[in-house]
Formats: sequence, C-alpha cells, structure tokens
Amino acid sequence: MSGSPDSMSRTAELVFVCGSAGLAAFGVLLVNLAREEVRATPPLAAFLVVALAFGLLLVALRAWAPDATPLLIPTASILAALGFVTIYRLDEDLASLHGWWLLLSATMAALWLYAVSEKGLGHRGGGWWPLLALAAGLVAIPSLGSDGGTIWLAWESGAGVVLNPGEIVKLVAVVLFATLLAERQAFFSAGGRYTASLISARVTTVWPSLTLLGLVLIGVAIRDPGTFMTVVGVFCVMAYMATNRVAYLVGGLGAGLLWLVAGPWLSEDLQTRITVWTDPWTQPDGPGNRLAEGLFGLAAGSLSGTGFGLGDPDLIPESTTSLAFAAVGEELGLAGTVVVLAAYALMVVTGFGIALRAREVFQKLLAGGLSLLLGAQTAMSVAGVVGLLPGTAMPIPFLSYGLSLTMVGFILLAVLARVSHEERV
Amino acid sequence: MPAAILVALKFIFVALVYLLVWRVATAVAEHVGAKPWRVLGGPGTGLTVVRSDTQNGLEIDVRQPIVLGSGSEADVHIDDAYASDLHARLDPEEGSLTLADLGSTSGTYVNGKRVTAVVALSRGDSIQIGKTVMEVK
Repeated sequence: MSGSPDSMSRTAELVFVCGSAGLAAFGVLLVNLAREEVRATPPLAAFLVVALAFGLLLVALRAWAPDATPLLIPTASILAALGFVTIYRLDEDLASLHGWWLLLSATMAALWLYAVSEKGLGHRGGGWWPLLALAAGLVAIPSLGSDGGTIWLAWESGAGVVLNPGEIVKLVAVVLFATLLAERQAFFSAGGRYTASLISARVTTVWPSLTLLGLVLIGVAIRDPGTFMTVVGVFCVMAYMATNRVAYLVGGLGAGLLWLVAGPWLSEDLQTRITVWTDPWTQPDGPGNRLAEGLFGLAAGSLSGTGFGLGDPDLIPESTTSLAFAAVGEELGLAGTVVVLAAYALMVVTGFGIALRAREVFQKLLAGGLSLLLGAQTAMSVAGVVGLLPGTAMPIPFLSYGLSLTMVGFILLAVLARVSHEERV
Repeated sequence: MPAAILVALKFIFVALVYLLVWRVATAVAEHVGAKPWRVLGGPGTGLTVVRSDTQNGLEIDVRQPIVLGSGSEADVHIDDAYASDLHARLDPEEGSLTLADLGSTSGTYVNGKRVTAVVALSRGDSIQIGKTVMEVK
C-alpha cells in the first residue's frame, strides 16, 4: 500500500498472523509430543483458529479501516497464540471453547468496524450504552458467582461458559470518560470551579450513561475491587492527559492508598487478601494457595522453563485465567515471561502513538485510555501473580481464557485501529 | 520422544516468539514519535491565502513559530473583522506543521472542522479564520 511504512505493510501483517498461527500449531504439537501423543488434528485446529480469527480482523480492517496502523494486530496475534497453547496445555476442552471465543470476538470486532465505517468515530462516544446496560444487567444479577474478587456468570452445564461483566464495564468506562473529558475539558482543567459547565453536559449522551456507570461501579466495588481500582486509576490518568493537572494523579494515588489502608475494615475478602499477600506461606493450602502456587510455578520455570507439557502448571489455581502468566512462566521460564511483557509493552506504545497522532480530543483520549487500560490490566495481573500487589485476580487480555475478556480485547484492537485510520483520512 | 529433543524444540519455540516480537519491535521503534505516514504530499511548509477580501494570494512562510491575528502583536496580520487579535499559532516541528487555536472568539477551522486541540497540518489542508481561507502548501 502506497504511503505505508516499508517495514510493516498490510502484507507483512498477514505474514505475521500466519506466523502466529504457525506458532500456535507448533506449541500444541510440542504439548502432544511431551505427552507421547501424535495427533494431526489439534495443531491444525490451533493454526486454523488463530489464522481465521486474526485473518477475519485483517479483512475487516482492509475493508473498513484501510489506513490503520499495521503494528497492532501482529503483537496481539502472537499473544493470542501463546495464550491458546497455554490453555490447550491445561485443558483441551477449554481450549476448543476458547477457539470459538476467538472467532466470535473477531466477528464482533469486524461488525463494530463495519458499524462505524459510515459515520466514523466522531467527537464523542455515542451508541455505547447498550453494552453498558448489558454490563449493568449482568452485574445486577444476584446469583452471580463471586470468586475471590472476580465476578462470574457461569452456566455450569455449558462447561465453563463464563461472562465477566467487569471486563465490559472497563471498556465502556473508558469510552464514557473520553466523551466526558473531551466535552467538558474546561471544567476539569478548572479543577471543578465551573460546576455549571459540567451540569450542562449533553443530557442525552453523557449523564444517563454516567449514572448507570456509577451504579455499576458501586456493584463492582463491593465484589470486584481489582476492576474498581483499574477504572478509577484509568480515569485519573485520563483526566491528567486531558488537562495536564498533576492533582488528578496525586488524587488517584492517594485514593488507591486510602483504599488499601481502609479496605480491610470494609471488606473481609480484602483483609484476607492483604494478609495472604504479606505472607502467603503460613497458609499455603488455604487462602495463600493462589499466590504460593503461582510463585512455585514461576520458580519451577526458572530461566528457560520446563517446556510445554513438561511442567505442572495444572497445580496452579486459575491457571487459565488470572494466573495465566504463572502458567507461561512455569513452562517457558523467564525467557517466556519477558517476551510476553515486551509484547504488551509494544501494544501499549503503539496505542499511545495512535493517541498522540489522533486529530480529535475525544479520539486522543479514547486511544490513550484504551492503551492505558490494556497496560494497567496487564500490570495489575502480573503484579498480582508475582506478589507486588495483593492478589488482584485479573485475567490478562489475549493470554487468558474468557469470552468477555477476549471480546473486549478484540474490540479494543478494532477501536485503536479505527482511531489510527481516522487520523490520516 | 527423547527429552533432549523436547528441550531443543522448546528453545526453538521460544526463539521463534522472540523473532516475531523483535520484528514488531523494530517496526514500532521506527514509528514511535513519527508523523502520520499517510500525509497527502507530505507536511506543509507554508500557507497561501486563497480567499480574502484584501489579502488574496498572500504567501505566509512558516519556518519558525508564528502567530496569526488581526492585532498588532501578531506576527502575520490577518485583515479580517472576525479574526481575534492573537488568533492562532503555527508551529513547524521536525518535518511537520502544527496549528493551535489561541482561544479566538470565532474559532479556527481546518478542513471545515473547528480546532479544539493542536492539529498536524498536511499539504492541501484548508484553514479558515473568520472569512479568510488559507491553504497549506
């Protein structure tokens, strides 16, 4: 394509997606070899799933966002391939389900790209409220399972079909924050002195959504503090990006510390998690199990890992979701975890690049906020695994199993690609 | 399957992941901080007034930051009743030209859209201040 960077064109992007699909097939083959099984179907299926999901996204990008940067999809496809192999290694049934989620998510991202292709992203985020309403409805379901800070909606009969409304809440929150900050930049820059300016914010677009988001966040704060902290943190940094006022950063940091100090009095669950975080070894079979097993896994992996299928990541609880990073660390070692972190860093850097070049304030904040969300979620998940933060129980986009997580990951890619497309149209 | 072969294959797998990520990293490094790569005819270096009551055809060279406006403190005088004293600022950065509105009353428009943040200009973009229209060349 003329004008595209020589080093990475649309064709190169396709080659990368095929490379990632090959990587998934190779990984699955290694798992089978370690188990002394020789089967042709699983590697082929792994190849097809990754190639089809990302291939579909590429086709949608060519059709509806042809000028988008070609730097986003390759990294995501590498991570998704690694995630698929890790899930396959732990649970084959779950992997086949995850394959469907990848395809479904890519289809949704493609449909989203089509939906915005006519009118573009515009100055503010309208039309996202159905997704928010869905998330609100899901959070409000009283029978929702709560598993140490993560909220689930699971159909037991459907073998692990799980929807986590928290993921959807995070994505929609970023869109709403970008809308609000772009529309009411003056208010936030003035430090809240011109309240009238905020109140007069477009009643039809912002306020109903924000009220709904507030209600959802109250629900989330009680049952899923990790999500709550991410949303609040992302808002503070986005407000800083929009206004250049350091007060928002200081305020956010202060609120986080206050939450850490006051949280244990408010929630027993948080209290347990902080106790476990400070000393996982006194109760390694009880609440400390997650952190301890995760650390054991990373230690067993050492520098280069045990190799796919040769470690015991199945001993790590939640190894397909919030402790996926530990599972990768056990079988691919420090070498594997470093490259995974590098890949996430590249995606965040690319996202911020898109934000810097975007022309509209709303799109800048949207791209910046989404990159921040990706970075924050990865950092908090990894910090929870290695014991830097009290167990945040957060899955990592693209690497962990989960329908909502994968869907949000793909939509995030599509939105970033769309902003990138519009910056040079 | 002998363990030695499995270990070798593991290293090959990790090496492949590194290779792919490294390739992306070099491509990203080239574009961090780079200007949009799909700019029509590349970045502009100046403006030409294409519609004005009195200044048609005026060439404005932008080799250093300049302020456009109707006031006497502006670097380039815009003869337009709707222009503010200090209306907009043009800033040539490395190989690109950016425009920022300086809080003008009537606003600055690039290709018909009101400027709310600093925008990068491309060759062929049209800038409107009051009734005066300029084109980036």
